[in-house]
Amino acid sequence: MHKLRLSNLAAYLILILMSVFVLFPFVWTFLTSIKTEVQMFAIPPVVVPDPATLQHYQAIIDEGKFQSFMGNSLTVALVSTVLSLAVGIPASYGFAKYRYRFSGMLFAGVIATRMFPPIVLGVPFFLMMRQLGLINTELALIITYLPLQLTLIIWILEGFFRQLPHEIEEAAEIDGLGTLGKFLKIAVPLSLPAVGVASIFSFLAAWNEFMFALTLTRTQETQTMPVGIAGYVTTFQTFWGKMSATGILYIIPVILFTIIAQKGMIKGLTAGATKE
Amino acid sequence: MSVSAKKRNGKHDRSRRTAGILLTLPALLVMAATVLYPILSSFKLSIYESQGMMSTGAFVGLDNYWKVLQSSQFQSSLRNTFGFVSVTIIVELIIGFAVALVLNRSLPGTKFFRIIFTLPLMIAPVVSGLQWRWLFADQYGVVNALLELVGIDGPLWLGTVWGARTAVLIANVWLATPFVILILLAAMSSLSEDLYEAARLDGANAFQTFRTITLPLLKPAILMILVVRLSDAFRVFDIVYILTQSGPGGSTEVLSTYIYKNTFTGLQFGQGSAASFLVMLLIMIVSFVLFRLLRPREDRA
Repeated sequence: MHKLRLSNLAAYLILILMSVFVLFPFVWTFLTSIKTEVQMFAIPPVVVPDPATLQHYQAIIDEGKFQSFMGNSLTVALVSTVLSLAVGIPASYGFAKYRYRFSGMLFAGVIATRMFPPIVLGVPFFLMMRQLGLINTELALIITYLPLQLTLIIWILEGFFRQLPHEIEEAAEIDGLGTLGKFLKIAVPLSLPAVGVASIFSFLAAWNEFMFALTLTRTQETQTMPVGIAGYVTTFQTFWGKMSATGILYIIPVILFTIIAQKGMIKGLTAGATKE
Repeated sequence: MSVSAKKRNGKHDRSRRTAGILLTLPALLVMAATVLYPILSSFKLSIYESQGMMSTGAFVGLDNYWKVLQSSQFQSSLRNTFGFVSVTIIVELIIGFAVALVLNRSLPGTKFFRIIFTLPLMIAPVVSGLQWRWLFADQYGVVNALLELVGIDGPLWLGTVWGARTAVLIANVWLATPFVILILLAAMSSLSEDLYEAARLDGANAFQTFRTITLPLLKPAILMILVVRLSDAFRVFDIVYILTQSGPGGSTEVLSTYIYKNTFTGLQFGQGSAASFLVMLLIMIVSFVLFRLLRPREDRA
């Protein structure tokens, strides 16, 4: 009994240490965001500022940059996710249930692109967008994010559709449903939770993407949040207060979402691990 | 497979085939336009001479590749990347195993901890990079202030070679370990209780159980972690770009930042493309070797 309690103690110690490691950066960023410049650079550091200030939040909103970056991020992430889902869901269903010659190979090819370092696409994308005159447009980012999201969606949903019992489909066939009918009336409604998971992950992929956004956009009118927030670090000065405030507002929705949709998120992340 | 199978004549098969092609075609077209075409054009770029962004039209074969391979910057970024990838994955696995084993015991509060540990996965790497840059700041950084509390004189994190490398490593471990934890946890929770019961009856201690039961059964999950994390770690860009700008003196330069600089700052598009393909080849080789080494024995041909 005594030994058991000791090992429980060790277990909680590990969990608490890990939690501190994970949470500390968030907490410190939040505390920084409500400090004045003087409190921020005090030695030894001020932990909880007294009085706290909202000046950095006020500043980023007054500047209008925040709204602009946020708006661009939302537009790009939403539009690209919707487009990816529109072509990705039927494709996953097709790959899972309607095998044809080469379909296995094509599926493997789609999934394999997940392994490419994105920088491989960075150069040709830049040249392609320049040719099309799309540099510094949101459309360029939307197009760029499609393949990133499609591979994710197909990876998650193909496995799900494959597990749909054959009997349901046969019953639908007897009821006289064609491929389209089966897809729209049976497969999609049954897979809504999985579609939700896939949408979250493709949304996040676009929401958090930095490198392509850095190479393809130049001005506040088109830049998304990751590039915008990185802009607070300049060669001469880093605006820690504004950066922290922007960072906090940028990640709050994601954190809330993570907590609410916890189960689905974990299911999506571990989709591959339990598949085999 | 009786009546319904026999009914499936040639016509039925053909219509299923058409359906499959029609369902997958839009996605395949998108992939062809947004992946295949760029990659092919990038390949073309890599075997022609280029001046700035323009190809001069002179075919140079593998010349760009040789130039990249011989450049000392490429070699050092390759060494840095290999060092970074191997250390980060080892650290992630050690921490990941420790935390997953503990979470798997389903002590009270486990759910709460699991939510906390999921958070970094959803956060933009850029934000992580910025947070750690502030935490590691030389004079005002809280990390050194905390170290001072316990009597350690912290290094100039971002100003020294190993300080900067450690900072990149920590920021990345923070970002990626949750993935390792969640995958291991999912795999562990699907292991059968009976095996552990049997091991207990045989008098095996915790370490023996872990080594002879848990570890071998987790092989597929570990393989998956290695492949995913390997390709992720090889492409690390955001954190280095934000946290250290490859410095000091190129000591944290990795392949992605090298390619980025070479192409978009140095405007060497031909060499940039060549370097991209070398990295791609490298990832393919390493993943292939991993698959061979770690594939469960029964499906080994």
